[in-house]
Amino acid sequence: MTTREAVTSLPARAYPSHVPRRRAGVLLPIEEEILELGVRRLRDGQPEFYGFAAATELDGDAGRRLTAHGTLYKVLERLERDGLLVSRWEEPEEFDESRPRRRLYRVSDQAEGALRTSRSLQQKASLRPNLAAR
Amino acid sequence: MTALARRSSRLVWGWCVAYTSVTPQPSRERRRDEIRSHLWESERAGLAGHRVAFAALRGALHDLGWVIGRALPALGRSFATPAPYVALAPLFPLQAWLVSALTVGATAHLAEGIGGIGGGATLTLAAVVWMFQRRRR
Repeated sequence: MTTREAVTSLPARAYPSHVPRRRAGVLLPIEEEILELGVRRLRDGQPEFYGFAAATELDGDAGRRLTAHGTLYKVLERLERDGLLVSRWEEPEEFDESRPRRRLYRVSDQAEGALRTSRSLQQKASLRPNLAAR
Repeated sequence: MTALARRSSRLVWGWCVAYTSVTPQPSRERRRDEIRSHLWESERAGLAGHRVAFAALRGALHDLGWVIGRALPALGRSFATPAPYVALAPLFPLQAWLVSALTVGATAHLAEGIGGIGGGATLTLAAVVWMFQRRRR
């Protein structure tokens, strides 16, 4: 078997199917969940949330184990860098001195659009499986 | 709060301090404050210690990825200053002394050669970087 034949005989998807792969415009499941939570909060009139609240809410929704700290804060930071979340530290007058201050997040104006784009791209990919495998 | 929960919190906090210690100050302070708050909330919510510890453990790879993303650019930038070269220079004669004390023959000879050239070369590099820095100011 030549090298070319060996390469072309490899399966198109080298990752296991459960590993989420990043495509332009498509959000990872945890990113979608966080943005959905933020949008829900915005509609409820309580737009701001903090890390622990997000983790417990996400776990409750998905009925899973506690969201990993490293994963959660890395994703929050990435969403903020991408302009989908904005954050700030609690002001001293906003919290009781007996507890540590919280980093408060809320979704930006672009968040809903990004969610819609991600969903439609995923839908298109699921309708055209060959495109998803590329 | 149970002893296990307290131990878990301390463990998670220790891990956070360890991995953030090599990152630049703004990232370090932000991550530490967020984890401090998260642990406090976990304790207050009465979460079991093993759940908190497992949550930290499962995110450890992401923590390391985060550290690499922040520490490597800072480390790269530090090599544009003479400090790391000055810090590295004494290691060359030190390794030569150590290797020649423990071995004989070609290995010791090689270590002495590296020790002689490496220290001087690194200090020269430090001087060159320093001169470039001065010219740029």
